[in-house]
Amino acid sequence: QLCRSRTVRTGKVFNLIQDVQGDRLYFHPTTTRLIKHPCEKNIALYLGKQVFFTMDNFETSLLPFTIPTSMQVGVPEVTSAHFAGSLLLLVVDQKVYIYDYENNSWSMSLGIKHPVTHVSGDNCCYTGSLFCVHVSNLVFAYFRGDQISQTYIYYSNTGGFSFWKYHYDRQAEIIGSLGGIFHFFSLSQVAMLVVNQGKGMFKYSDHPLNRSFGLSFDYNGTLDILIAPGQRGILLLWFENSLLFSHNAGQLVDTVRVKKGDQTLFSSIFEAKITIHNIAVTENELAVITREDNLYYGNLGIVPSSIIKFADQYIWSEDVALMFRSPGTLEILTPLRDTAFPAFDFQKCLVNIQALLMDPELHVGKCKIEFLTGEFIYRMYTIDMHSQLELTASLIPQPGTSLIPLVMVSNPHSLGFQATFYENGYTSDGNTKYKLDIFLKQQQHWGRTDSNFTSSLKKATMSTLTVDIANKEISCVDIKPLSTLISVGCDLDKKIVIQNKVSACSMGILDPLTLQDNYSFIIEKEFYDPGFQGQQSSEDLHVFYSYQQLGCPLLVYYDTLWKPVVELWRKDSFQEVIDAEYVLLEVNGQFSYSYSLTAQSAMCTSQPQNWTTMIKEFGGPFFWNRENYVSCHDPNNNAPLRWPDVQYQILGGRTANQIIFGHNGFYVFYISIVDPYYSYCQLETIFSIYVYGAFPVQLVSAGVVILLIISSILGSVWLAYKTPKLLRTARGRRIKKCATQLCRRCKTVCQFRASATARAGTEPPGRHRTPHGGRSDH
Amino acid sequence: MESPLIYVSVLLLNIFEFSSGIVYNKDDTEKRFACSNKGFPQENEIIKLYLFLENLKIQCFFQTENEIASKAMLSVFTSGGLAPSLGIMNSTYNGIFHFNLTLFSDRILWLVDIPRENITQSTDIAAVEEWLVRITLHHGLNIYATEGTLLDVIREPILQWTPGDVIPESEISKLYPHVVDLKVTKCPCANDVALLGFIVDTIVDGVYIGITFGGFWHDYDTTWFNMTQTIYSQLQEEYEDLSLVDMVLTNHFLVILTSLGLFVSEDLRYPSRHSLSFSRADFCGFERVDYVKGKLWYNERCFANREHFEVDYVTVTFERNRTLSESSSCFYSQEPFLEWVPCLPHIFKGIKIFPTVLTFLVDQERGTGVYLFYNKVRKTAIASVSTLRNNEPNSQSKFPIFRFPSSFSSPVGMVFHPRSHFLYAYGNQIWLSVDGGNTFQLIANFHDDIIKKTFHSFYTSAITFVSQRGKVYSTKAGMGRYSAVGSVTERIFTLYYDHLGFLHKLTLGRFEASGPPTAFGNSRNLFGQPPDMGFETALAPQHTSLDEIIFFAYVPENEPQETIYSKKFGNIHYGKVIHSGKTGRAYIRKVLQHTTPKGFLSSVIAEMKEPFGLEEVNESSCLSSSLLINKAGNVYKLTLDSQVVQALFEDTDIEKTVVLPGYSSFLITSILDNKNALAIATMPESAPNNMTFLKSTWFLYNFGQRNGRTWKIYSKPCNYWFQHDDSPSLNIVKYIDLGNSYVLKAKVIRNAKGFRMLEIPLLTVFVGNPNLLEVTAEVTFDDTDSYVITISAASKVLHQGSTSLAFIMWSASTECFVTTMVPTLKSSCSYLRSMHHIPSKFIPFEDWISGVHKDSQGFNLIKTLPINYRPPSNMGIAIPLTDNFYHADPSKPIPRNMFHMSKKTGKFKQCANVSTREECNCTKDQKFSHAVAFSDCREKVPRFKFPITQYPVSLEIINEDGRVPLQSPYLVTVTEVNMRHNWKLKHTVPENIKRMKQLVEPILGAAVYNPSGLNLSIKGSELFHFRVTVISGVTFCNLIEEFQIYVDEAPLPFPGHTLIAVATAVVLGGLIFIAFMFQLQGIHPWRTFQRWIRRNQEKFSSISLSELIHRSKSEE
Repeated sequence: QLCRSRTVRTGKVFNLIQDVQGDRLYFHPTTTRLIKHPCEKNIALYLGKQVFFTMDNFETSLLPFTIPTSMQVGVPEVTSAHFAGSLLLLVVDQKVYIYDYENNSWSMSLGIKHPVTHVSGDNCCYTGSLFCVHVSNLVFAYFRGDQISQTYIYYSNTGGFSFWKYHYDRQAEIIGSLGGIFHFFSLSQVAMLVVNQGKGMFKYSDHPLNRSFGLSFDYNGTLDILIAPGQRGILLLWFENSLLFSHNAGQLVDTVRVKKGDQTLFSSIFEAKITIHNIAVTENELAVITREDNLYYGNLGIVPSSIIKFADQYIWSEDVALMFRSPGTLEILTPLRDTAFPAFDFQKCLVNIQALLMDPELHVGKCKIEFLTGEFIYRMYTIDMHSQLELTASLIPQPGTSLIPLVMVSNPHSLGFQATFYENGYTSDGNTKYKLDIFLKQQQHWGRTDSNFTSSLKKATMSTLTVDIANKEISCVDIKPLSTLISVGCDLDKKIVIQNKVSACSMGILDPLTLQDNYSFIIEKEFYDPGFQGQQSSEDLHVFYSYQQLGCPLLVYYDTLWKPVVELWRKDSFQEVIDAEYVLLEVNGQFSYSYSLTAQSAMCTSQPQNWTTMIKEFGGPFFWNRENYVSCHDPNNNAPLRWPDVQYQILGGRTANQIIFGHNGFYVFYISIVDPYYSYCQLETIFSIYVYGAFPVQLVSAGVVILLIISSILGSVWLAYKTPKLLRTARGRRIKKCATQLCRRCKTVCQFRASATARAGTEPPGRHRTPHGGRSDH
Repeated sequence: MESPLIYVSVLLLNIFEFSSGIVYNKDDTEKRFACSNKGFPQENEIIKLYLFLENLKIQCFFQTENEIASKAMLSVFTSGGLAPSLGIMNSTYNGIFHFNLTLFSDRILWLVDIPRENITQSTDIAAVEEWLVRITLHHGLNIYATEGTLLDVIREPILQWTPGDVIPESEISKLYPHVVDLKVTKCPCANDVALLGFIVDTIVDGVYIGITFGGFWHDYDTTWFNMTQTIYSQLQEEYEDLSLVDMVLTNHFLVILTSLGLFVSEDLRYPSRHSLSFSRADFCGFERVDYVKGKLWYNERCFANREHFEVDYVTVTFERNRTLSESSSCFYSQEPFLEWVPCLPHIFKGIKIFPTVLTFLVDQERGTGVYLFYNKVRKTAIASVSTLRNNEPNSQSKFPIFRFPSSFSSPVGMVFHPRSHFLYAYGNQIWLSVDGGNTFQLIANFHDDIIKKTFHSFYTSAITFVSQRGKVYSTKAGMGRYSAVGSVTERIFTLYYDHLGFLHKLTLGRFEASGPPTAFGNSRNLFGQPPDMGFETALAPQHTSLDEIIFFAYVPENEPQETIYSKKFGNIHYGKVIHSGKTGRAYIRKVLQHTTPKGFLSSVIAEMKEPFGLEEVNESSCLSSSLLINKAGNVYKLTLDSQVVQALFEDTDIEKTVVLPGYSSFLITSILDNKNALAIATMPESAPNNMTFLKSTWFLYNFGQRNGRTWKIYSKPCNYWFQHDDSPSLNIVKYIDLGNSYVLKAKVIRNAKGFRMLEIPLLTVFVGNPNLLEVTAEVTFDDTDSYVITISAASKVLHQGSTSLAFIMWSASTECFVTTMVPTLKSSCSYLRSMHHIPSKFIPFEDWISGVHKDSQGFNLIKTLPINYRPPSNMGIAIPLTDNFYHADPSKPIPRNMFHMSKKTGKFKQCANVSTREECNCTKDQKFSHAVAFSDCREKVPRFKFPITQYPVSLEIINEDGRVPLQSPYLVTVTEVNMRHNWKLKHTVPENIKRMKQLVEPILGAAVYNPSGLNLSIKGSELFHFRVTVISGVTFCNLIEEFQIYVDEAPLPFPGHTLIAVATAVVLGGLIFIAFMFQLQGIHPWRTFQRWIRRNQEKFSSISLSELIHRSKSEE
């Protein structure tokens, strides 16, 4: 006895007949599929002779699922369906339709110009993660069975609303037909199933797996490919008489064996001569129903996967489908046509796997695990460049048994780890507790791989960490492997801040109140270029100073070589002073600053990039970042050093490059960390500085000024020597007398004038001196 | 000099990777890896790796049912980021190496490539321990751990020689009909290296041996030699009937006893091109007949990293009564085995009928000699221990003589279990001494069978005894229990334990091993099915509690006295399992011997694990009746109820046992008639008399033997796990320096629930030499009732030596892999312990190579010394007086060699007698070594600016456990190697150190400094080369460290610049001041001078004028 059936029949008490509106969808006359929403438990889609869409796990009678006639589908045959977030994508009549079940609205996706039969994608259920949204939004649409060299593959990063043509590298050279294309996030690769002469193999898009195909496997019939939820890279490929399984996103595909106890009865489904009708998969379980009316069950462990047969019961019909309700609880679902109502009822049969496994005839060993848990499950972690992560799991085996815990990552090309397993105290009933410490960092930094094993360090990837027990019995239904998602990429909490210890406000040069009061300043036309090309502009620029954004500017004395002190902050805590390479750009296009080093003095081996070329290449400023930065010290960079005298515009890193200002005033800089090996994040910010202390522009050359000063000093010394001598002579005496007279006369005039001024009081006092001085010459 | 440092750092790096101890005796760990050095590894083979001069390359794959599955597993692991790791360990070293992750499309095997230097630096030939390798998936988790060995073929002494003519195997097989016995001797450090010798009859003569480097696992790893010519060449005259009698391979020598004398090889560590030569040891008066009966005795110990107190001894005994002309029939010698001296001290000579010496062994831990004497007349054996003084046994015995009981009538020999202090005396009994021969305890009694050979494995602590009749018994070192494992049918055979403790049976032309190829299953039994250890009699069970049962062994009254033992429980049954022919089993906990009750002379107390099957009515009809019991003299009469017709006593009921709950049990001995039977009571005190027991209140058990024995005794499965923390090896060697201590921890875990908890210790600890170290043990039961023992050993006396420590799980089954752990503690200096000077400024190694490391001021902190540099002496920069050259190059001229004294001094060391620097063969290590011995090689030294004040001399000690700063009581003396002065040391002297200093300084005749807070000031220039030495008496180690300092930019030795500058300034200032003062005072010296000149001129002119006048006048 497997289970007891019950029928779901609701809403049929009142004689209210609902009409089926729109075109009734159908899938295939003889087989069924049941697609559960990977993240939301109660949402599922049943595909068969009828299509049903439920949001309550088939707990109500349902009308067949239809597509509005306004969508004008030809043949309403569904060939493929996929949940992308809150959207249901359906391929109907070789076109992709979108059903937004939250708003109950239909639309047709844009951009697909050629017929497609299938959509594929993955879902990530870690809510609140930007990364997960991105995963759910990536969808491929393709025509299964088409020759790869000429087929059109589309991808969408908008959850299926709009598609673009997907360019697979050297697609035209691949011989074989397309068995499917998938984005395996567990491996950070796009993989294409190439079918050729009865063999299938996966071809991957990126280094290091792109050099060769995965191992080939027998491809009989047209295999449906199921990606098991949880991003662990588990794939199930199945057809009527073939059931294949892959641990590692298709790199190795193996048959699922049929076992009894410890004994392998058949090494494949084909050998077992059974015809699969429907299968259901969770993160670590597998159930198969066959036309022969048998139910098989297996778990997706580390050891070669296998299924065991349960006792027989008549459960099979053409419409039957399987789904897992929760771990260890399988539901066998059959839609029942109701002659009186258009709404279908559902016969449900709930199978308690754990109870069935107790049957001694199955020869299933006792589960050796009492407890397995880790604080990291259902959480997502980030490892940024050079950062590390430590996770722990605890494990309690049955007394007197020993377990073999295995820690694995889905993408060892980017994520490496080391695990230690040790005794850690006892439970209250005297059972030994074990602890597993897992220490993770980027694989490239472990140094335990061949050089061509690791993926590019620059590229952000992701990986799943799984802790499972190698010698786990099939009876460990409730013991799920522990798994978590680890993104080897940007830690979004990271930001950069420019150290502002000496600001113009704190030194009293600028007043913060003035700055906050809609302050603006003028950049003279000689000093800026809105095109960032260093050309003079035709008019002065009024710039509004955003105190909100920039705060009080950093004070920089004009005569010093300067570079900013860039600090890395994570959330609200200071981490370190960044020593990586970065670039600066004045956002208003001011060019009255230069760099202390040239390409040659910076010891460049190739032509360094600079803002002019970057702006030209990327069509605008602020596009210089870690993605496109190429170091001129990179031995792999083979751009010849043609102009060694150009300014070296990269600061930080190993060079001592600094900025020289040529002009007083405000500068608002955009800073971008371009070192690709500092962080996976695009670290950038804007800050302002105030340069002071520069002389006004010189009109006369310094030599002339010095000459004048020296000659005037010499002159006055000569005068000081000569005057007393001259005064002693007769002529001198005369002049003296004359001067005294003049003085006296002046005095009188002055007194007169002064009184006059006192009366008038309008004339500026400065004017007096000129006639006075002029007259003294006489 | 520098190489140990690198070795240490590699070692330290690796040590920290181990985090938890390994649990032994867990049976479910599958051995999954197959690895090899070369080619595709063979499945189901013990991993045997060999280290040559080149890199160690290892290929491994994962064994599964078939090849495809094993590839699939490799890909599953690789795609999960898992690759195995390789642990290499011996008693003092362990290192972890990781197999690299490789795309599995590239390779189907795991591969690791380890440079030899990463494992060991040395390449000299010496006794080196064979490494144990452990390959595990998922480093640290001990998953699928598979063990193997790694042998350093380059350094293993015996493998460097050809001890005779190499002959093919076919030629050896021709000998087989004439071989009478086989002898095996193995290398004490690497048990996989072994020699197999053939003892031949008189028809063929010669010495034939085979040398294996792979533990006789394969035919190809054995090379055969004919040593006949080598032996004959040592004999002056032609002799005949040469045959091997016995041989011993010690750490450095091969000792061969032949029918023509005892031959000792040359030192195996120094191979010359010619083949191995032997020298003959002369024993006056001994001839062929004596040699043929001779025996060699050797205490097998590994002397890797040998210390001065570690010496091999070999004893030879001859089976012959001492005549007056001969000094003894027992001789022993220590390395190099040139001088053989009698075992018996002179004083014994006076005694008339002195027993013969069967065995004489030297106990190296205690420095004693242990004798096993046998008096042929009285048939008694005694053991005696004498202290060795100057390698001669003291005439006074150390302990009272131990007299074995007369039942030990035919002793054969005595042997120390290798690397431990367990002493076994064997013959028709086996006796164990854990205290070096003071007392012995009986382990086994074989009555008329005699143990002839013993075989030992240091790794698993397994011991196999083989008796005259070919019966094989096994035990573990130090255990009080043993079991029979079968018998050998071959006439000529020998056994051999390889390095991993796999037992091999070597017969003529056929080597059998006990290990795989039976893959993941248990090891194969070489001796047939495990035998039943039961004996031919009936047992009478007696319940004492619900789960405790006593079995009494029945001895019939008419049993002859000589064979009574065969109807009794013996030592062998201790810790075994009694199985009933029906169901049920019980673990034997205790063996009891007694004289009452009559008929039961022995019994065992057993713990019932599974209830025993009762007799049913259809088997014994009597059960359907009630039972009346009456005492009838010594026996009891059992009477059935006559009313019950079908209830009858039958013949088959004899030897069945009537069990009455609450009363004594009765073993039916005879049937009187259908209704009456005679029985004997197991416990007469609680036997009922004249009582009737109703049907179903009495039971019948059948443990009889009349119709085939219904009970059997087998070994018990392993019942304890053993966990040893901190070290992955069972035979660790730990060095304890003066004032240091070491803590060892072990844990015994019961591996099944519902096990009877014992209040008594599960683990016993024996110390080989309790006088050497202060050893204290602390034991606790933890929360899971696991037994935790913490042993701390601390240095005690200023005496070097080594002692073994033994942990024995005495209640563990002999089936356990580990029952005994024997760590060795050495009160000595570890070869890994060294002192280092920490430079005040760290300069990375790359910068040392480039020679440029600038500080923030742009001052280069590295000075490349001029070629053939010698530091200056007190006599001046240009007059070096030291013998040490730096950066030597004999092809280049020697600077500063102007003076006679300089020419006289200065000697090349590394570069002596060569013409160019290349020929000096300076290694990288030597170039960067601070040691004065390598001064020729030294090119670059750390550079400092003049003057150096308060340069901190920080020193640290590096040992196995990490680094510790040097501090008191490690006081140091400091010298300048080139006898330079102009330097001064400053240090803090607290009160306690002051006293020590005062005490030590007069003895040493040198200044002693406190190493903490030591400061150096240098007033001189150029190179200073200091040597810091730790004073003796505080450590066993010779801790010396040297460091160099080059002082640059010193001012000129003559302060000319300053003087001139000062003088000029003073003069100028003075002049100006004078001028100023003159000006002030209105003195105008110039004008005065001018005036004076003018006046003079006037004067002169006047004089001249007057003169002229005068002259003219006179002319006139």
